[in-house]
Amino acid sequence: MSPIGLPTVKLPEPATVDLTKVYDVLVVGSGAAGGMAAHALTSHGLDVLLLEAGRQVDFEAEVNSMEWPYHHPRRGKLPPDTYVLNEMDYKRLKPPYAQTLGRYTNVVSWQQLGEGPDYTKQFFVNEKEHPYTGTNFSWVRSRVLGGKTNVWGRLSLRLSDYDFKAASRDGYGVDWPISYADVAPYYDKVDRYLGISGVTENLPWLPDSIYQRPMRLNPAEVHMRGVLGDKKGWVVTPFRLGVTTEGLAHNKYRSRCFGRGACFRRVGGCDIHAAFDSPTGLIYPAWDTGHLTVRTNATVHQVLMDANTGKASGVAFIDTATKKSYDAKAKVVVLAASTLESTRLLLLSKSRQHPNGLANSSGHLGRNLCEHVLGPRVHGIDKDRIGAKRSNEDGRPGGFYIPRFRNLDEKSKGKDFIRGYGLEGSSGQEMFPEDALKLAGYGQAYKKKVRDHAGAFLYMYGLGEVLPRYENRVDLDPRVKDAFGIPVLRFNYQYGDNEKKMCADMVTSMQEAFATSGFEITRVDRDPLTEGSSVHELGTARMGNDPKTSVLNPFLQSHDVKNLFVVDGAGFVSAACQNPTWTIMALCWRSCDYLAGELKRGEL
Amino acid sequence: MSSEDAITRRQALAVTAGAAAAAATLPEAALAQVAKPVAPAAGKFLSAHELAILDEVAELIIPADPQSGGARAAKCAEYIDARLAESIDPLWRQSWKDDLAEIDAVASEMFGKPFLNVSPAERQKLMERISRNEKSPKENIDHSFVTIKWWVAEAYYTSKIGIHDELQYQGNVYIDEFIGTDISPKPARASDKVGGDHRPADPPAVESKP
Repeated sequence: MSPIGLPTVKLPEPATVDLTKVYDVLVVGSGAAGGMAAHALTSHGLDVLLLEAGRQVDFEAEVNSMEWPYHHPRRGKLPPDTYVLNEMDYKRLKPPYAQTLGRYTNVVSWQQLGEGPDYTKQFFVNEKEHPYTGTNFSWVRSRVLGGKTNVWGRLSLRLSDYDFKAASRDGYGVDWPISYADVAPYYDKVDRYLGISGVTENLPWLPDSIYQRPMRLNPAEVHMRGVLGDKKGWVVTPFRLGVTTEGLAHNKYRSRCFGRGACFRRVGGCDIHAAFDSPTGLIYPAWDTGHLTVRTNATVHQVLMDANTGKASGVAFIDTATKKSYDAKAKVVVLAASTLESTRLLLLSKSRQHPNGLANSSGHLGRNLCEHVLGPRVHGIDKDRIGAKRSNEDGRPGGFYIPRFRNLDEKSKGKDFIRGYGLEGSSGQEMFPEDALKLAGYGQAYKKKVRDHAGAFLYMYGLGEVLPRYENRVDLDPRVKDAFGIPVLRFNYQYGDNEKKMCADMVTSMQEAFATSGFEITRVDRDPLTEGSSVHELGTARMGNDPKTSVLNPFLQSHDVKNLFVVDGAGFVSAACQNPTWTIMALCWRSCDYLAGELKRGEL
Repeated sequence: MSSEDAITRRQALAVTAGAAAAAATLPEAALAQVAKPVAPAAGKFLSAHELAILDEVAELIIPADPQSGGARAAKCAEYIDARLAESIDPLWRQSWKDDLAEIDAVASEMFGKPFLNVSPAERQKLMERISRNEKSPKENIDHSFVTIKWWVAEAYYTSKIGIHDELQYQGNVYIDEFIGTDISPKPARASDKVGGDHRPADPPAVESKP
């Protein structure tokens, strides 16, 4: 039950779902892409079967957004049988990461290192049941209804032609087969349907959305906006948030934001759903159309093909709880299982006709894996805020964002790297004073210093584009299988020189930002985190006009199998430096409109 | 690490000297919270002796003062003991016994008696000794101090006393709109506007309320 009496939908028991019927469209996965596919396709009146590997979560009961730490037996921390992988583990160990952690029954990815991990740990896979192999990669996977949208970071940005046509600008890689004009109307639709908060800044390289009321900046950030704007020409803007601040008249499952700050404290988790999540934002409204069927506990492991037509006929799945095998049938199959799980599924669906994996006549499936690099981070103190009087400084879902300022023109050209990065950060008093773990000393002096510094603390970190590289790839491990007997992914992926040089520049920029603003720097982290840590894995089934060098066409439809679509991040040609969720949903909606049209014309 | 972060020896000594004077001015409520440790009882994992050491060291790290109760009032030792009791990591559990034994060992070395028998002034001297390499721990006792302090801080600032009395945290409440930090009566800096920034000229009407 929602704390403010919002309605919800109780989905039927998995075993009761009708699998004898041939649905119009079958969607695998229920996160940002799967939820959007369900919404867009049902709005065309199509009968959709949505398959999700996990369960429907009782979000309100499990997340309990407002519970104080001292009302939780472990102050929100994990129970003793659960181990969370940390950065040292990701660097020191080799995948499968859980193999040496025999003492623990549950091993979860680093995402759970934040405050309050006990509330959302069960949204993530147990690495013991879901191993992967190869090079170091911190792969965060969620198998519940809504997937990672239940816990996402909410920063919602648009790409521009600086990104879609980046190859033409700097000569690296290939352009996307689409431009901003193709996607812009769908960004608008996503903005209006889901709600987004932010400030219009009129930056050509970071197009504005249609914003609801923005969040305010805290004093250190207001100061930075003025100083960095004047002296460096950088923009300090409030987080562009996938959060409805004014409410959505068309959605009864979501409240507007009430400034509780819970999503900033927990590992995600807004139990009044002001922050977007796929179930309340997309799936439950789609359910209300009467055109949606949802089958949870469905671990899909193969796309089934009709040998006569050469088209997809459905999928095979294993019931996650009972381990029984089932088939589901549809006229069109849409994969939205997350970038790497969708690609894994295509690789798993190899056959005599498709020996290298389904939809892989180009040989590009699994390749050009890209994402965002993060790690460089600066902490500091705004001395003007030391000892300041108390007010509510974290009643907001995000802090500040400094959009990309490198490689936009001749003047902003990076010295030794291409593409760019954005800077994210926050300031002001949070519930837990981070400086308590950093300030030296003990006794009354220490205690007073923590108290006086509680609202003076600020931090900033970079998030930069990782270039797509043909050699950065995933394939199937020939030996290792998961708990369901399904072959697992093997990574062959690492950062290159461009990422390392970009990280060095992030550090310099952040130091400049602090110095220019008059903030004291207390700590500088320089190294990139382990590959995958951004949880923004993209590519591996990129779109393009040429079937020889791309897996999908510009509408995310397989070049090889025309009734097969991949609508998550796998279709990205490059990662840009913007957080991808809003773009995934805009591209998915565009793809689904095309799909509906083609299906009605009998083209699929 | 900047100088801002590191309390100098001189500062620490000045504070120690002032501690007695501060105690004399404590309000009655805070004094009640400073109260002597209760008769030592064994913890769920730690022995009575170990728990008493932890309780005392915790209070020395975060003492009661006029603003709020300290680590003892916030039951930090009890919290840490409960985490140890349920842990399935034998190495981690043993490391706590070793860390607390280190405190006793240093007390014996410095004053010829166990930690709990040394005077308040001697305890302050011991704290100086065990915290001196906090930023770059070398000896066992340096590591022991870092571990104990980390856990005491974690326990204290997630407690009711730490969040509300000590830090006077204002959030985790329903508010109509996040208006930003109150920087009245005047902005911190001439360039800053009162009450934050970016407020649209006409705030849009709110469509749904609970």
